[in-house]
Amino acid sequence: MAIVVNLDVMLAKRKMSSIVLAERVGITQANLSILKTGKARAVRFSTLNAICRELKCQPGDLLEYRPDNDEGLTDEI
Amino acid sequence: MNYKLSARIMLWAVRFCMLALVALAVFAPKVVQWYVGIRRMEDVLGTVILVAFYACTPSVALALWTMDRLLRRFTKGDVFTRSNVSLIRLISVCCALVAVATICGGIGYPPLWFVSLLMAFLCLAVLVVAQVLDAAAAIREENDLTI
Repeated sequence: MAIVVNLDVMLAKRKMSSIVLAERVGITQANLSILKTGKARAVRFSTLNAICRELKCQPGDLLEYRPDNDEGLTDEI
Repeated sequence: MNYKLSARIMLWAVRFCMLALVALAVFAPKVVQWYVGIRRMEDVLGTVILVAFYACTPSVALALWTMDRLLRRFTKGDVFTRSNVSLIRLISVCCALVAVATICGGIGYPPLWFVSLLMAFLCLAVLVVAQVLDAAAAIREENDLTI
Protein backbone atom coordinates (compact mmCIF):
# COMPACT_ATOMS: atom_id res chain seq x y z
CA MET A 1 0.00 0.00 0.00
CA ALA A 2 1.24 3.50 -0.83
CA ILE A 3 -0.04 5.16 2.37
CA VAL A 4 2.77 5.40 4.90
CA VAL A 5 2.09 6.11 8.59
CA ASN A 6 4.80 8.26 10.11
CA LEU A 7 3.76 7.61 13.69
CA ASP A 8 7.29 6.80 14.88
CA VAL A 9 8.52 10.17 13.62
CA MET A 10 5.77 12.07 15.46
CA LEU A 11 6.28 10.03 18.65
CA ALA A 12 9.98 10.90 18.58
CA LYS A 13 9.24 14.60 17.96
CA ARG A 14 6.79 14.72 20.88
CA LYS A 15 9.04 12.50 23.03
CA MET A 16 6.18 10.19 23.79
CA SER A 17 6.29 6.42 24.02
CA SER A 18 3.84 4.24 22.07
CA ILE A 19 2.63 2.73 25.36
CA VAL A 20 1.57 6.15 26.63
CA LEU A 21 0.00 7.11 23.30
CA ALA A 22 -1.95 3.83 23.08
CA GLU A 23 -3.30 4.39 26.59
CA ARG A 24 -4.33 7.99 25.91
CA VAL A 25 -5.89 7.19 22.54
CA GLY A 26 -7.76 4.16 23.94
CA ILE A 27 -6.40 1.46 21.68
CA THR A 28 -4.27 -1.54 22.52
CA GLN A 29 -0.51 -1.54 22.02
CA ALA A 30 -0.95 -4.36 19.53
CA ASN A 31 -3.27 -2.21 17.42
CA LEU A 32 -0.90 0.75 17.65
CA SER A 33 1.89 -1.51 16.51
CA ILE A 34 -0.23 -2.65 13.54
CA LEU A 35 -0.68 1.02 12.65
CA LYS A 36 3.02 1.84 13.04
CA THR A 37 4.20 -1.08 10.93
CA GLY A 38 1.84 -0.29 8.07
CA LYS A 39 -0.19 -3.48 8.42
CA ALA A 40 -3.44 -1.65 9.10
CA ARG A 41 -6.06 -1.84 6.34
CA ALA A 42 -8.03 1.19 7.53
CA VAL A 43 -8.06 3.85 10.22
CA ARG A 44 -11.20 5.18 11.84
CA PHE A 45 -11.60 8.94 11.94
CA SER A 46 -12.15 8.69 15.68
CA THR A 47 -8.74 7.02 16.11
CA LEU A 48 -7.04 9.56 13.83
CA ASN A 49 -8.77 12.34 15.74
CA ALA A 50 -7.50 10.98 19.08
CA ILE A 51 -3.92 10.50 17.81
CA CYS A 52 -3.78 14.05 16.38
CA ARG A 53 -5.18 15.41 19.65
CA GLU A 54 -2.55 13.64 21.76
CA LEU A 55 0.38 14.31 19.44
CA LYS A 56 -0.80 17.86 18.69
CA CYS A 57 -0.36 17.41 14.96
CA GLN A 58 -2.25 17.32 11.68
CA PRO A 59 -3.35 14.16 9.86
CA GLY A 60 -0.91 15.10 7.10
CA ASP A 61 1.93 14.87 9.62
CA LEU A 62 1.01 11.26 10.23
CA LEU A 63 -0.11 10.05 6.81
CA GLU A 64 1.95 10.27 3.67
CA TYR A 65 1.24 9.04 0.16
CA ARG A 66 4.33 7.42 -1.28
CA PRO A 67 3.48 5.69 -4.57
CA ASP A 68 5.48 2.56 -5.28
CA ASN A 69 7.14 1.98 -8.70
CA ASP A 70 4.08 0.42 -10.41
CA GLU A 71 1.73 3.10 -9.22
CA GLY A 72 4.25 5.78 -10.25
CA LEU A 73 4.53 4.38 -13.78
CA THR A 74 0.74 4.22 -14.13
CA ASP A 75 0.46 7.87 -13.10
CA GLU A 76 3.07 8.93 -15.68
CA ILE A 77 1.26 7.03 -18.44
CA MET B 1 -31.38 -16.70 22.95
CA ASN B 2 -27.79 -15.87 21.97
CA TYR B 3 -25.86 -17.81 19.38
CA LYS B 4 -23.65 -19.58 21.94
CA LEU B 5 -26.66 -21.07 23.68
CA SER B 6 -28.14 -22.14 20.32
CA ALA B 7 -24.80 -23.69 19.38
CA ARG B 8 -24.65 -25.56 22.70
CA ILE B 9 -28.17 -26.96 22.21
CA MET B 10 -27.33 -27.95 18.64
CA LEU B 11 -24.09 -29.56 19.86
CA TRP B 12 -26.02 -31.87 22.16
CA ALA B 13 -28.47 -32.66 19.34
CA VAL B 14 -25.54 -33.57 17.05
CA ARG B 15 -24.03 -35.79 19.74
CA PHE B 16 -27.38 -37.52 20.17
CA CYS B 17 -27.50 -38.09 16.40
CA MET B 18 -23.97 -39.55 16.51
CA LEU B 19 -25.08 -42.06 19.14
CA ALA B 20 -28.23 -42.80 17.13
CA LEU B 21 -26.10 -43.40 14.04
CA VAL B 22 -23.86 -45.86 15.90
CA ALA B 23 -26.92 -47.69 17.25
CA LEU B 24 -28.51 -47.78 13.81
CA ALA B 25 -25.30 -49.05 12.24
CA VAL B 26 -25.23 -51.91 14.74
CA PHE B 27 -28.93 -52.79 14.44
CA ALA B 28 -29.43 -51.90 10.75
CA PRO B 29 -29.76 -55.51 9.52
CA LYS B 30 -32.55 -56.20 12.05
CA VAL B 31 -34.30 -52.87 11.31
CA VAL B 32 -34.18 -53.49 7.56
CA GLN B 33 -35.40 -57.06 8.02
CA TRP B 34 -38.35 -55.78 10.07
CA TYR B 35 -39.12 -53.09 7.46
CA VAL B 36 -38.95 -55.58 4.60
CA GLY B 37 -41.21 -57.91 6.61
CA ILE B 38 -43.96 -55.38 7.29
CA ARG B 39 -43.88 -54.04 3.73
CA ARG B 40 -43.77 -57.57 2.30
CA MET B 41 -40.92 -56.64 0.00
CA GLU B 42 -38.43 -58.94 -1.67
CA ASP B 43 -35.30 -59.75 0.31
CA VAL B 44 -33.08 -58.31 -2.43
CA LEU B 45 -34.62 -54.86 -1.81
CA GLY B 46 -33.68 -55.19 1.82
CA THR B 47 -30.11 -55.85 0.75
CA VAL B 48 -30.17 -52.78 -1.50
CA ILE B 49 -31.42 -50.60 1.38
CA LEU B 50 -28.80 -52.04 3.73
CA VAL B 51 -25.94 -51.51 1.25
CA ALA B 52 -27.10 -47.96 0.55
CA PHE B 53 -27.29 -47.29 4.31
CA TYR B 54 -23.78 -48.59 4.97
CA ALA B 55 -22.46 -46.69 1.94
CA CYS B 56 -23.85 -43.47 3.41
CA THR B 57 -22.78 -44.12 7.02
CA PRO B 58 -19.13 -42.92 6.74
CA SER B 59 -20.20 -39.65 5.06
CA VAL B 60 -22.92 -39.06 7.65
CA ALA B 61 -20.49 -39.84 10.48
CA LEU B 62 -17.93 -37.41 9.02
CA ALA B 63 -20.59 -34.72 8.59
CA LEU B 64 -21.74 -35.14 12.21
CA TRP B 65 -18.17 -35.10 13.55
CA THR B 66 -17.44 -31.98 11.49
CA MET B 67 -20.58 -30.31 12.83
CA ASP B 68 -19.44 -31.21 16.35
CA ARG B 69 -16.08 -29.50 15.74
CA LEU B 70 -17.77 -26.47 14.19
CA LEU B 71 -20.27 -26.07 17.00
CA ARG B 72 -17.54 -26.39 19.65
CA ARG B 73 -15.75 -23.50 17.95
CA PHE B 74 -18.99 -21.47 17.87
CA THR B 75 -19.47 -21.99 21.61
CA LYS B 76 -15.94 -20.56 22.14
CA GLY B 77 -16.89 -17.47 20.09
CA ASP B 78 -14.75 -18.49 17.14
CA VAL B 79 -17.28 -17.96 14.33
CA PHE B 80 -16.12 -16.03 11.27
CA THR B 81 -12.88 -17.75 10.35
CA ARG B 82 -11.58 -19.35 7.15
CA SER B 83 -11.11 -22.69 8.89
CA ASN B 84 -14.82 -22.75 9.78
CA VAL B 85 -15.62 -22.12 6.12
CA SER B 86 -13.55 -25.20 5.22
CA LEU B 87 -15.46 -27.28 7.76
CA ILE B 88 -18.80 -26.16 6.32
CA ARG B 89 -17.60 -27.01 2.81
CA LEU B 90 -16.65 -30.47 4.09
CA ILE B 91 -20.21 -30.95 5.37
CA SER B 92 -21.44 -29.98 1.90
CA VAL B 93 -19.15 -32.62 0.33
CA CYS B 94 -20.54 -35.24 2.74
CA CYS B 95 -24.09 -34.33 1.67
CA ALA B 96 -23.03 -34.72 -1.97
CA LEU B 97 -21.53 -38.15 -1.25
CA VAL B 98 -24.74 -39.31 0.42
CA ALA B 99 -26.71 -37.99 -2.57
CA VAL B 100 -24.50 -40.01 -4.94
CA ALA B 101 -24.77 -43.17 -2.81
CA THR B 102 -28.56 -42.93 -2.65
CA ILE B 103 -28.81 -42.24 -6.39
CA CYS B 104 -27.05 -45.57 -6.95
CA GLY B 105 -29.24 -47.26 -4.31
CA GLY B 106 -32.32 -45.76 -5.92
CA ILE B 107 -31.73 -47.85 -9.02
CA GLY B 108 -32.71 -50.88 -6.95
CA TYR B 109 -35.13 -49.11 -4.59
CA PRO B 110 -36.49 -45.90 -6.19
CA PRO B 111 -37.82 -44.22 -2.99
CA LEU B 112 -34.14 -43.63 -2.13
CA TRP B 113 -34.14 -40.97 -4.87
CA PHE B 114 -36.17 -38.73 -2.55
CA VAL B 115 -33.26 -38.93 -0.11
CA SER B 116 -30.87 -38.09 -3.00
CA LEU B 117 -32.93 -35.04 -3.90
CA LEU B 118 -33.01 -33.88 -0.30
CA MET B 119 -29.27 -34.38 0.17
CA ALA B 120 -28.46 -32.64 -3.13
CA PHE B 121 -30.56 -29.65 -2.04
CA LEU B 122 -28.90 -29.67 1.38
CA CYS B 123 -25.47 -29.79 -0.30
CA LEU B 124 -26.26 -26.64 -2.28
CA ALA B 125 -27.79 -24.86 0.71
CA VAL B 126 -24.75 -25.62 2.88
CA LEU B 127 -22.45 -24.41 0.07
CA VAL B 128 -24.29 -21.09 0.00
CA VAL B 129 -23.91 -20.81 3.79
CA ALA B 130 -20.16 -21.49 3.35
CA GLN B 131 -19.92 -18.68 0.77
CA VAL B 132 -21.73 -16.26 3.06
CA LEU B 133 -19.50 -17.20 5.99
CA ASP B 134 -16.45 -16.74 3.73
CA ALA B 135 -17.57 -13.20 2.96
CA ALA B 136 -18.17 -12.60 6.67
CA ALA B 137 -14.66 -13.91 7.48
CA ALA B 138 -13.19 -11.46 4.95
CA ILE B 139 -15.12 -8.59 6.57
CA ARG B 140 -13.96 -9.69 10.02
CA GLU B 141 -10.32 -9.82 8.88
CA GLU B 142 -10.69 -6.33 7.40
CA ASN B 143 -12.29 -5.15 10.64
CA ASP B 144 -9.49 -6.66 12.74
CA LEU B 145 -6.99 -4.59 10.79
CA THR B 146 -9.06 -1.41 11.10
CA ILE B 147 -7.59 0.64 13.92
